[in-house]
Amino acid sequence: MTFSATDCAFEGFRLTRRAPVAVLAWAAAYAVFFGALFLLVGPHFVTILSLLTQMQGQTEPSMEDMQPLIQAYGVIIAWAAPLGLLFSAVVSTAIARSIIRPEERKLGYLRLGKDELRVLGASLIVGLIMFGAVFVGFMIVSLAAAAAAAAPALWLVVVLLSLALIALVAGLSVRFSLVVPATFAEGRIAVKSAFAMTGKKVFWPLLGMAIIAWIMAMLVGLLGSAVAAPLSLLVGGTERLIDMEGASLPRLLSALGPMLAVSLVVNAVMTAAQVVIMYAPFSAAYLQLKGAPRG
Amino acid sequence: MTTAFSIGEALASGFKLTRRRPLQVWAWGVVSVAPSLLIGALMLHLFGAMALTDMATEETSAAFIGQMIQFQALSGLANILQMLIWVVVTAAIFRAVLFPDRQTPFAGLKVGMDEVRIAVVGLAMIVGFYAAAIVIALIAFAVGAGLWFVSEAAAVTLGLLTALAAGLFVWGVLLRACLIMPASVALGDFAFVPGWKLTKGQVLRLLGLTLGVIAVVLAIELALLALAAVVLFVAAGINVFSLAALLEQGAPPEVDWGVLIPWALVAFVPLSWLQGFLGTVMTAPYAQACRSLLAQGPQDEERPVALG
Repeated sequence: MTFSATDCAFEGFRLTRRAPVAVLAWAAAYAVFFGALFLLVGPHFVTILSLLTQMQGQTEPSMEDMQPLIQAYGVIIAWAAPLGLLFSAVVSTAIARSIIRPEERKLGYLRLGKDELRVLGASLIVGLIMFGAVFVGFMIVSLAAAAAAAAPALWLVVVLLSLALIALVAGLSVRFSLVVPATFAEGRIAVKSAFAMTGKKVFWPLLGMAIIAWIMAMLVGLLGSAVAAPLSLLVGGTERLIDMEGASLPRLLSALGPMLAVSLVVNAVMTAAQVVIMYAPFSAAYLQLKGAPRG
Repeated sequence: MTTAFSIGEALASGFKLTRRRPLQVWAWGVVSVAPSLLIGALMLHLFGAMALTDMATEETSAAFIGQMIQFQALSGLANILQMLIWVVVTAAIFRAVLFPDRQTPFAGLKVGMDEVRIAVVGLAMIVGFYAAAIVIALIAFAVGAGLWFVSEAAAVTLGLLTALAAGLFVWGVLLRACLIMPASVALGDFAFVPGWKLTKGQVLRLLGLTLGVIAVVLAIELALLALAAVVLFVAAGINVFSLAALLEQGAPPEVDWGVLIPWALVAFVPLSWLQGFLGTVMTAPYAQACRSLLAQGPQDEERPVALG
């Protein structure tokens, strides 16, 4: 079976036209997620912004300067990583559901059930494989770089190894790109079968489709930022956060309420639109590869 | 059978299109110049009340900085608008050459799938260009670093040779890719592969076309500048060669906007037409080349583009 890369690349736009309420529901879900995350780690985020601004003038910040920065990052990652993984699984499953089983439109295709947990598991497996590949590749490149410090002729090897690592990451990303729709459609963690589906004949069209989808998401982001710019001009940009270091959450909310609200809505809508444009094509490609008629 | 396109015919296509649809060409110029007008109007609005001498002072006031930030943000928006307009106008020119018999309301200016494809292909080419430049720079650095400790002269020579080879390679790739945009409009699809295949064996011809386009545009601009200089000298006694010396003495302390604005509006009509004309002369040849090459390709599939 084959698929039409250019046809599938537009699936995100087709989905937006077919199920606009679902896309709005995903934007609302992102708004809730971002809002909750800000309530949890907002003051730490402000601390990071403020510290980074202060450090811009310093040539070599000391370990003491770095300590609060590392602490703030640690708290943010501790909250954002698990919540982000779970939320990402929920949204990516919702997008796959909207294309593979469009009739299950209740709650904007959003659920938290077995499908989502399977997608979360599959994403974790893929993430670990990717991390392992990058880690090993990075170690090899680091060893080559250490050797090149003594023998400069090896710098060419370092560059070629780095390019090979980038190619490997891109290649693996394409090979694993159908894991979410396959896992959802087959009702099991389908890492192996999704990997097998993206072999020789499918690889390049899939890469082309991913590039087109990514560029379209960039374009939507560009247009969205143009539309949102006047709003940001009215309420002020995130630079206003920098002056609020050490402020409590209620003070932050009362001082910068309109700016935070606008920023939240804009980011939620833009992220939902971009995620739909980037994720939906893979479910469409999966369906076509499984023999579904072309849209 | 070897396929080829005529450089002369391609170069002439912009002029033919201008003769066939002069008002459309003007409309393309008007929309292309519009963002520049917007920026001009913004500058008037933001800095109009401020004397030029105030701007030249070393101590910048908070109000001035605030206005500069506002201006930067708005001019960023105008730049995005300019890119969008470029996409819309380019698509309209391609369609006018590829489908000459089609009815085109609003001077062929619209936002549709052709425009989306051109935007995506354009962005892909920009991203690809930068990615290639980074890779080439890295390889050149590695080769240079490797050789530097053996022989500095050899490293510099090889670095220069690498830069030259890379430059030629990038030019070759850009020429191979230059028909992807018109082919995408002609075929009604993302024509990355067909557009690339179309230019196989045509690189030198496309190089000739590109150099020809540059020469024609330069000749038109120089001729118009010379004409403007003569007209200014005869009509108003202004010697353009002494204008530079006047400007070196500094900008006038006050600008009479009441006089300047009507003159700018009068100048807008011919200048916008010129913008549309130059845009057409620069863009149409590639659509014409694409059209010729598609017409000579295998005829076993039905093509949306008019052949011949």
